[in-house]
Formats: sequence, structure tokens, C-alpha cells
Amino acid sequence: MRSTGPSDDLARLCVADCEQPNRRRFLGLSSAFAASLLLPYRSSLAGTRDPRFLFVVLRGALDGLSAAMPVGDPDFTKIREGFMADLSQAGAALPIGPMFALNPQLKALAGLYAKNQAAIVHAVATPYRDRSHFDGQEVLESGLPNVTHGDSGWLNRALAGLPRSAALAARDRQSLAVGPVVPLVMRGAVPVMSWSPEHLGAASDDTVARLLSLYQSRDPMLAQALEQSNLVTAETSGMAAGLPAKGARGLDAMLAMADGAARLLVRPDGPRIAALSIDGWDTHADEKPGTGRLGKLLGLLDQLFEHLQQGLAPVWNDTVIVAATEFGRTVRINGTAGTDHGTGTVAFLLGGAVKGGRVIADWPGLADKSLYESRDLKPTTDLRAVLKTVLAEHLGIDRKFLDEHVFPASGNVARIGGLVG
Amino acid sequence: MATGQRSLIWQRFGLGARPGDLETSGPSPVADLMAEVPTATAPAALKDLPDSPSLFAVYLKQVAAKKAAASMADLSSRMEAPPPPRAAPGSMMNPVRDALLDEIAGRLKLARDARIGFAERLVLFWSNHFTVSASKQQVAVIAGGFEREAIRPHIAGRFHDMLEAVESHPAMLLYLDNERSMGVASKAGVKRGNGINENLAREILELHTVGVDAGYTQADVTSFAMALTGWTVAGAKAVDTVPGNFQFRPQMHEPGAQRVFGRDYPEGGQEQGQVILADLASHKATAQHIAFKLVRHFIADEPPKAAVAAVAAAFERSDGDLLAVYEALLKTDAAFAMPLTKLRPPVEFHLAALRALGAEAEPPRFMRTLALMGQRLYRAPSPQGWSDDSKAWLAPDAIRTRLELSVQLAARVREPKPLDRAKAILGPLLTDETATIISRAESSQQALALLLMSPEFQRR
Repeated sequence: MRSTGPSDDLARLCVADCEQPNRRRFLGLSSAFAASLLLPYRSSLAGTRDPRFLFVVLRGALDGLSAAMPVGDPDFTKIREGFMADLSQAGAALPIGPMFALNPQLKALAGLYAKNQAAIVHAVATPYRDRSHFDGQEVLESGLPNVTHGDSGWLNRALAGLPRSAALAARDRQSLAVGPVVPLVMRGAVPVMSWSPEHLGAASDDTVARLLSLYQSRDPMLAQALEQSNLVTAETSGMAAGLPAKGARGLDAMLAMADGAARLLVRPDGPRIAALSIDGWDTHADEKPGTGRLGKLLGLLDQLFEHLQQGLAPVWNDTVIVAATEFGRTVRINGTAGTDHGTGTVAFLLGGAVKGGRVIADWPGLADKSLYESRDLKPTTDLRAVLKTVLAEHLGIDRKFLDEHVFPASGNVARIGGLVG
Repeated sequence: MATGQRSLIWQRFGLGARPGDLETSGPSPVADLMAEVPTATAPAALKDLPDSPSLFAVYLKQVAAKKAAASMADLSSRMEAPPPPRAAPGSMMNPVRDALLDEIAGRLKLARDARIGFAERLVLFWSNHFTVSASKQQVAVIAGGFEREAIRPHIAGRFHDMLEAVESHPAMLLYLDNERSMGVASKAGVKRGNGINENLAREILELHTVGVDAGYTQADVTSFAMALTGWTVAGAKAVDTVPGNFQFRPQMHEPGAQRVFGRDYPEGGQEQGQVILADLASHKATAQHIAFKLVRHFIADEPPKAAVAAVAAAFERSDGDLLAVYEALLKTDAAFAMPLTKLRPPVEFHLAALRALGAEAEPPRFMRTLALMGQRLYRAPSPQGWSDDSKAWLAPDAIRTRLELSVQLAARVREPKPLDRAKAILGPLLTDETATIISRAESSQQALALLLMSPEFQRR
């Protein structure tokens, strides 16, 4: 998924192909072939949980101070005065405790927070301390302490560390990358399947089988990709109803992604772990966190949360969703009514399994002397602490494995404790 | 070089062979490839397309029309009359879209008719290195103009000239938010209390020139952004130039000297930024960065160090003469080495498939298919551009879409002759396994689809 949402000018512009009807593939696999790929579903043991985990990458650096506003900090309204008129135009801020209020666009999130099913982590950052999006996203997704251009992501490595009984089942069911490109966080040794809502039309089972045999003898990576696509095809064939019929782009495309991901995650034989990305958070100019560019994006994110909550309803109590971004933005507004690359920001945790209703923050303050390099929100929580806690408490991954393999060299980053349960 | 590896001229460095192409290769693959480079500079297929200011005028007209329509609708709703009827889809309602489709039609024609496709591959490479993404409407309308005006004319020239053309092109200034960035101490800054936007300066350093590991600091980014204040785009009310052209506005420029990357640059208006760009263009780290990206794009996801060093040395020696740089790239040991490791990204795969089959694609359908494979034209997800790592394109769903496209394209071929065609376009790269699976296919259409999906067609 590459495009963003209502702020996406080109969505309205509709460059090309708007008139093309969207044909989707509902391929009935020949039974023998399907059986060789779809391993039998192993029901989880009685009484054990069957957790779902979804990671949402917010690419471009989300302005955390506009998403969860530190309204109780006297410096906030002063330093962000230029955004206040636009914010109030979007409606009343949604209070979460004495210190913070959610952006008026985040209504569904506020609702979940009120039900203790959402938590906000503030002044959080990965270990990355420079200001390149691309290096920042790499650290966010690789789980490594610095930029090393590795080719596996922490979520893929986490799959290898699932508890033994769960691992068998979960590996059979695979994990899911939503959209036409597999994000780094999901890449690695453990096979991953991917899914996106639109297709051109079916290729016959026979053609697929012939091609697969060629790949198996010549090109293992392509073989693996084609096999995974079969698995998803088989699964999506059972979920024909309810997806939007129109060639999806912009907001519709994003929500179609969320709906599709939810349908697959809900299925007993579907994946348990998924990742998707939303682009567009790089608000250097005309940020307008209430009604404009950022406001609309936050509204989209909120709708996405709402769709996920509805789609995942049957398994909501076993679900944790984490949404995180590579870094935050400058505390001060820049010369073009936007913000430049910064450091500390927010992360969102939601789902029925989250011990929510709280803001997790060691608030550093916004006075000049409190800022990181005199310009950014100072990070006081390491995002890896949050992610390690969720992976340990929700997916049962061993602590040592987390410290050494999933987030290498993070033994000194203490887990937070009590985020899930 | 083994004769079989002549196919790599088309496979690795071009857009894939058409039947008959392989027989035309001359005695020197490097000479064949280099001869094609200048053809991308000002191709006839694009000569009738409008320049950026004309495209910008289309955009301004559309904005004005929308405003007028909105006020009409407002007026008629107040008069309780029905609003004016909307035009049927497909009618001339979206000139911006039409302009982009014309652009794509031209590019498709160039790709179809290219002898090898190396020149067009270089255009794709540089347009991706200097990504502008149509995520903003003003950029969408001139994205094609950007490629024709800032990239193509310099494809066989000097890196520095391309860099200056790119960073002063309205598409880049708009995409990376420089058009309203102003010095706090500039006349306009003092009057409006506004300041800089550091986006363009940061990406020039990080992505376009020296690279993220070159050792610059936040202070360098800020100073460079100050130096670039005033680099803007002439708007609708421009007097001494045409709207949609580059315009330097002295009243927005931060006065005073700037220190960037260890050098001092005295106040000099527009020239201050130009001098910094010139220094960046000839910086050692830029040579290294460009060499790394070229080798990674054309040869291997993990670029061989010797190849990068050779290309970087040629860049430095020639002060960024791109023909010398390409020649060094083609003369590295790795250039014509086997095996094929990189996966063709969607655009290359689609164009190569059309060439292999002698097929045509309608621009709207072409755009849509590429979007499904994860590479929506003119819409790279960020200033970093499309990934040059094969693994990014291996998403199962996207591979499935490649297969579906192959089946569709194959179904429309009149004279399939699959095995002959496979031999003609792949030459010695065709493996026994693929030849067997093609000859045993249940139909010639299926055989063609399998040919397009074979590892030796997917990889380069």
C-alpha cells in the first residue's frame, strides 16, 4: 500500500484507469494442489490463547505532539500556537488524563482508550538519533541498534522464537504482509505471505503448478513467493463477500487493506501476525493537524483502527495492534507552517488484549532546555522496550531470545511490564 | 566475454530483447551500449509534449475552473436550481491526467522502439535517484516535464549540470517544500515572521549527493537550507517570468555567509546555493554514493567493492562526466558476470514483456498494472524512490500479479511460436528446464506466459 488517503491530492485527481472495473481473483484451487500447500489447521490447545498481532508502520515521521497533545504542559500551546486555530476548527481535543488529549480526529482511538483497550506511549523513540527517514525506518523495522543495512526485520525474527507449540501452528499459518511490497520488518528467513485487495484476473491452476515446478528446480526465492501467493489465494477465495467493489485507491484502498487483513487474521487457519504501512506523515509544509494534511491523515488512521476493531471483533480480546513511526518532528513550527524531522514521538497500542486506558510517558517537558538538541521532543522511552514487552507478554517469546535475536544487543533496554493481559 | 553473455546487453543493461535483436550485436558490447546513451537526450517521441510552464498553466486553469464550478454550485444551491450536470467519465474533464497519459504514451513508444533500452534504463535510474513523487497535485502535473527538462538533457553530460537542473526545477522545489522556505532575516521573513523549511537541503545531502554517512551535521543541513532560501517557483501572478518557471526571490533569501560541510560560503544570493551544489557535485563522497547506487541498480543487490571503486574513481577522475562513469561501470568485471541475480522491478518487467511479445499497452492499463505490482508510476513512496533491492519486489502477491499480467499479455499474441521466441529473446540464457517446460505447455499461450515468468526472464 503506497498511497495515503484523503490528503492525497492525486486520489482526487484520479490519474488514469479510474474507469477500469476492478476484477478480483477468486481462484478455486484444484484440491490436490491446495492440500499440498494448506497444511491442516491445528486447533490451539484448550484454554490457551490464540494471539493476533498487527504492526502498522507509519512512514514519514508522525508529529507525536499533534497526535497526543500534552495540553497540561504550559509550554505546549505557546510553542504550537500556530496550529491551535486549525486544531480547534476540527473540534474539541479528546482528553486522556490530566496531561494529554488526543487529536480531535482520533475519535475511535479515544473510544478504545475509554474502554481501557488503547494505550499511548509518548516521548518514545527507536535508538536512532539522526534525522534520515530511510535510516530511521530501517532501525525501526530491522530492530537493530543502529543502521547496518541488514535484510531481516524484527517481526520475522520474532516468528522463529514463538513458543514451540505455537510456533508449529503459527509457521504453518504464516505471517502476512499487506500490500504489494513486503516491508523490511517482515522480511527474513521465515516465509511470509502477502495480500493486496486488487488483482488482474486468474491464472489457471495448471499454469501455476507448471511454473512452480520450474521455480522449485531453478529459483527457490521465486518458488517460495509463488507458493505463498497460492496460500493467500486459497484463503481469500473464502472471503469474497464484503470487500469494496470499486477499484480502490486513497482512503478506500487503505481501508480495503485493513478489512482484508482483518478477515485473514480472524480465520482459524489464517495468519496470526501481520504488518502494513501507511505513508505520508512527512508534514514539512501546511501541516494543519486539525483539518488539513495531518488532520486528514489522522482521521484516516482512526478509521483504519475502527475497521480493524470491527473486522477483528471475534478475536479482539486476543489482539494487539502497535502503530509506530521512525521518529518525531521538531517541537517548533518551521517557516512553512509545518515541522521538520525530529526525535521523540508517540506510539499507539490497541486491542482487546492491551491493558489500556493510560499514557505511558516519562514526560521530558517542552522548555528549551528540555529539548533534544534544542529542537526535538527528548525521547525518554525506548520503543524496543514497548515492542519487547508486547512480544513477550502477548506472543510468549522468550526474554533472552528477544534480547539477543529479535532486538540484538538490547539486553540493557528494560521491558516495561504489564502492557498486555 | 563468452558469446552467450552478449544477451546481457539487453537483459542486464537494457529493456530486454525483441525477437531478432540479439543478432544485431556488434563486436563490442560496451560500444553497443554507449552508442545508445545520447538517444535519450531529446527523443522525437517526446518532442511535442508541453514544457513545465505550459503544464503548470493547465494546472492553474484547472484550479480556477474548480473554484468557478464551486461558486456556481454554491450559487445554484442558494437559488434552489439543480447544479450543472457533471461531465461523463472519460470526457475532457481532467487535463492534468491527460497530460500524464500523453507522457506515458511517449515513454511506452520509446521503450518499444529502443534498440537496447540502456538509455531509457538510465533515465529510469536518474529519475529514481532524483525522485519527485506526484503525491502533490502541482508536482503531478509537471512530473513528466521534470524528466524531460532536468534529467534527459544531462543523461550524457555532467553530474553537476543534472544536479543543478534538478534542484532548481519547479517539480523538485515543490515536492521538497522549498518554494516557501524563507530566511528569518530576509525581507519576507521579517515581514511575515516565517523561516526555513529544511526538507530540500537535507535530501540533497542525504539522497542526491554525498549520502547519509558522509558526516554532515544538523547545522550543515540548516545552513544549506538557509543558502537555498529564495529558490522558488513563479506563481500565477509572476511579472518578469512565466508562471511555473524557476524564480529566485531575493526578498526571501537569508542574508549572510553560510558554513556547510567545512566550507564557508559568502553571501551571494542565488549563487550561494549554486556554489554549494557545485562543491557537493565534486565531493569524493558523492562519487562514492553515485557509484554505489549505479552498481547496485545494474549489477547486484550487494555491489562488488571493486566495481564500486572503479566507477567512483572514474567519477572523480572525470569530475562527474557521466559517459565516463557509465563506461567504467560497463567495463567492470562484474558487469557481464553470471549468474542473473537481480529481479527486474515491475516497470522493467512490464516493458521487457511487451518487447518480447511485440505487444502494446494502453497507458491507463499500464499504469494500473504497475500499481498492482507495487510500482505506481510517478508515485514513489518517498524521496528515496523505488527500492533497488530485489527482495522488496518478491512479495508473493506481486509475483502473482506478474503471472496474471503474463497470462493476459500472452493471450493476445497472434503468432506465439513460443520456443523460437524464447531462443530469440534469451539466446544462451535460456535454460534446458525452461525450454522443456515451454515445449511441454498445454497451449502456446501458456508457453508464452511461462516464458515471461521464467527465472531467466524475471532476473537480470
